[in-house]
Amino acid sequence: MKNKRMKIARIEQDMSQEELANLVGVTRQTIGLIEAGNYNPTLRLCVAICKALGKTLNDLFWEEA
Amino acid sequence: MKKKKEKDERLERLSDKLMKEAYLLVAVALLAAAVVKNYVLDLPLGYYATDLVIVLVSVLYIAVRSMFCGNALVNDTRQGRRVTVLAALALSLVVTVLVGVRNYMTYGENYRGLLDPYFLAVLALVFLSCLALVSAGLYAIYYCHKKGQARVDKQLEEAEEEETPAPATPAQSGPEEPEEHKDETP
Repeated sequence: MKNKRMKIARIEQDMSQEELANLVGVTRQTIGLIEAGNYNPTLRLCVAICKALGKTLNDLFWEEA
Repeated sequence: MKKKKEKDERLERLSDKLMKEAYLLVAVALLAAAVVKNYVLDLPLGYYATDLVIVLVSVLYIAVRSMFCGNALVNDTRQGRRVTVLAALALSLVVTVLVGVRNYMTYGENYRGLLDPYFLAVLALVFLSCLALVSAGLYAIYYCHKKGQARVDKQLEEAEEEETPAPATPAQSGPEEPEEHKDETP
């Protein structure tokens, strides 16, 4: 399932995938795969992404009803 | 201070997955090589002993390391045990067929057909021996699994005991002093 919320949050912060990847310590491809819903990040990576984007786990990774 | 660069978890997982596939490929190739050398080329044990030793040592390494890391070696559910029993029976059957074919090719002139009682006795003996050996091996793996799980449980209990503060012990007091009674006499 695509993670549109993460993509929107990243765009709101005026960040490219590469910039976010550098912040959290992964490759650009990993960020792209997470946003495309083709990779399940660990909780640790989820938390790192939330911190980088100034959001909570609920905001970015909780499944919408 | 320079932050230590963390490795991308996805790439690490991918790398681990590829290594696992490569190991399985090598192990299967070594076993296939041993079977071909023994049954097709009819070479003595010395020619393929190394292949078998490599596979055996690697399996032992996985078992022992898993035990120390607390990795679950076996599927301890009802279905898992059923699969294990079926796998043991299937493996014993495969070995029996291979040995039976070889035995018949070597001593076939002494038998009166495939249903010769001696030949059937050989098959039964091989099957039972193989089943016993496989069961012993599986039990050894199961024992390692249980030991590993117990080790991890113990570590978790010790960690929890360290975190949980010890309950405050009540101050030690001497014998209870009798309550003071009001003098009711007028």
